[in-house]
Amino acid sequence: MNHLSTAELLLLAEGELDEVRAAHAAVCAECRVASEQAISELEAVTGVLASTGAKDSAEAKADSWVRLRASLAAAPKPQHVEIEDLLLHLDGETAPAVSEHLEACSDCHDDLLRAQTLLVDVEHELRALIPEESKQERLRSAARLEKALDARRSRVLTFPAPWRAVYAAAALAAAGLFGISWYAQQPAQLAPVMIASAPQAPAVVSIPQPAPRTMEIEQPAEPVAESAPVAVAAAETPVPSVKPERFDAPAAQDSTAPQRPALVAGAAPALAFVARSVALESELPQLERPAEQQPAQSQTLIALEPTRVVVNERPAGGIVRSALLEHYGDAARRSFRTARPDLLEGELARYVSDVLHAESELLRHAYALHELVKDADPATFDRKSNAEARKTLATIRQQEELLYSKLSEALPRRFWATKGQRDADSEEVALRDGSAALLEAALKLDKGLSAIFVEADSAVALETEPASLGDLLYTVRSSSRNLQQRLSVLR
Amino acid sequence: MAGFGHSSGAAWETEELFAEHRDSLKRYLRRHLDDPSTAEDILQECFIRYFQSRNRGDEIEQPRAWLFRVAHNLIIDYARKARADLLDEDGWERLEGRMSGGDQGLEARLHLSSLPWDRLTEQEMECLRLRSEGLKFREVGEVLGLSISTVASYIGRAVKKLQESEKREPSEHGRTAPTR
Repeated sequence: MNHLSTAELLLLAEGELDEVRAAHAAVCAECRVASEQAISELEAVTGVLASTGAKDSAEAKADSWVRLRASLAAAPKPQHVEIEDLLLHLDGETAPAVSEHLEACSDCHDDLLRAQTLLVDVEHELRALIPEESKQERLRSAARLEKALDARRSRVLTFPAPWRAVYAAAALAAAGLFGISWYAQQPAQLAPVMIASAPQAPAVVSIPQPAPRTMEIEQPAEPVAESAPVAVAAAETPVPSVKPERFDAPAAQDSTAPQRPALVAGAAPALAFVARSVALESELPQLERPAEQQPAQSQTLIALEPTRVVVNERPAGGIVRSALLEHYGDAARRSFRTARPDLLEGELARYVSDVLHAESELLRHAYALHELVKDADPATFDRKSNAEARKTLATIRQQEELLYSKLSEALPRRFWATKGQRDADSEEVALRDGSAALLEAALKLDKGLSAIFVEADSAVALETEPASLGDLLYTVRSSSRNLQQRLSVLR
Repeated sequence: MAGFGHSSGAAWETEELFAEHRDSLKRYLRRHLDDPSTAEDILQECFIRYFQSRNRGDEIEQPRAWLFRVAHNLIIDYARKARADLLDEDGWERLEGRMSGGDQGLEARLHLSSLPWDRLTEQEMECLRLRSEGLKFREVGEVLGLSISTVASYIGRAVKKLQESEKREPSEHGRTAPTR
C-alpha cells in the first residue's frame, strides 16, 4: 500500500501533485484524512503569516485550500471491493480494476488480509480434525494402489481368452508334429522336449554345454553382511570382472578332489527338461504315439537326457518380453529416481537380502534336484523318486516366482519412501547405475528363467547366446553386491 | 496434459498424482466418512478410475479437481447405496456412524473446534473443505459443478459468518474481534 508521503500531502495541498497520486487520495480514506489534516495545519500556519503582514498571500492560499477541501469532499466515495472479489483476488481471478483498487484502498486491503487469515485458520482447524496417518499406512495404501494398477496393467498384457486357446492349441499341435517326426527319424533316441511353441516354425537353438565348474551351494537366508568380502570392483564398475570363488571355473581341476556336481553344465538343461516334461505330461495325452514308439522311461527321465531345446520365436514372445522390459524399466525408473541414503539404505539392503535369499533357495533346490536325478537309472527310478523330483521342482518354481515378484515389486516400493526428495547427486547416479546393473541382470535372469520354466504364453525368445542359469544368477548376485557396496559408501 | 493409451505411462502418472494428492484427498474423504477403511477404498477407487481413464486416452485437464470430483461423487454414491442397504433402525445408526463418526467422530470434533461451523450451510462448508485442501476456487467449482463466482460467493458468505461470529462472541471462541 503506497500512501501519500508528507511531501506529497503538501504538494496536494498546493495543487501541485500529479494526477495519479491525487487520484489515490480520492480513493484512500487514510490519505484523505491525512490530507485534510495537512490542510488544517497549513491553514494554521497561514493564519500566523496573515498576522505578520502577508495578508494577500494568506487569503489566496486559504481560497485554494477551500477549493481543495471541496474537491476532496466532492470526490466520489470509493466503491469497496466485495468479499467475493477479494477472495477471487487470492487466486488471481479478479479483473485488473479490482487489483488496482486493492493497491490503493487500505480498507479493502485490510479486508483481504483478514479474510486470508480466516481461511488459513479454517484450513488449520479442519486439518486438525482428521488424525494424521502414519507413514506405514501411507505405504500400505501406496502398495495397494500399485498392486491394483499392476493387475490392471497385466490384463492389458495378457492374451485375450480366445487367442490364448489358439496359441495353446497351436503349441500342442506343433509339439506333437515335431515329436512324432523326430521319433520317426530317430526311433532309438529319446524325444526332445520343447519349450513353448508357436504357430510359426520354431527355431531350434541348442544350448551349448558350458565348461564344468565347481560350486558350493549357499545356505539359505544368508544376508549379505557388510563385513563379508564383496567380490566387486570399485563403485565405478558395476559388474566385477572377477567372479566369486565358488563360481570360478576349475581351470586346473584337482583330479583327486571329490567331484562336485557341475550344476551349470548339467542342471540348467536338466531343469528345463524336467520342468517342461512335467508340464507336458499333463498336456500331451493327446500326443500318444503307437506303443512301439512309447519310450520306456517316464517323461521326467526323458528330460534328463542331453538333447535340444526348441525355443520359439513367435511374436507373442516378443510382446511379452517387451512388456517385461517395460515393466522392469518402469519399476526401476520409479524406484531409483532419488537417493536419500537414510531412507534408501535399509530398504534396499532388505531388498537385496531378499533377492539373494530367494536366489540361494532356488539354487539350493536346483542343486538338490540335480543331485536326485543326475545319476538316476531310468530303469530303477521309482515312483517315490519321481514324486520327490516333482516336489523339488515345485519348490524351485515357487522360489523362481518369489524371485520374480521381488524383482518386479520390491523396486517400486522404494519410490514412495523417497518421494519428494529429488536432489540428484553423485550417489544417486551411482545408485541408479547400480540399479541399472541389477535390473539388467534381473532381466537376463528373467529371460533365462522364463524360457526354462514359464508356460507357453509368456515364454520369451532367447535372442543372444543362451546363458546358463548359474551365470544369470551369478550376475544378479554380483549386481546386488555392487548395489550393497554402493550403499555402504553412502553411510 | 497429453493423452496416451500407454498403460505404463498412465500408471506412472497415476502414481505421481497419488504421491502428490493422496493425503489431501484422504483427508477430504475422512471428513465425510469417518470409517478409515471405507475412505481408503474410495481413495483407491479414485486413482484406479484415473488410471483407467488415462489408459483409455482421455484428456484430463485438471487432475486434482478430477480426482476430488470423483471422490465427491463416490461419497454420494456410497451414501445412497448405504442408505438403501440399511433400512432397519440399527442400520441407520450404523450408517450415521460411518458417515459422520457418531459421538466420537467428526461431528463431535467439529463441536469442539474453536470456529462456529454450525452457522454454515452444507454448501458453504463443502466449499471450505475443498478450499482447505488447497483447491483453487475454479477447482472447487469443477468438483461441485458450480461456477467460480458461486464458489466465491459461498466462501465469502462463510467468511462473513465466521467473522461476525468472532466479533459477537470473542470469548466463546477464545478469539478477539478484529481491530478494525
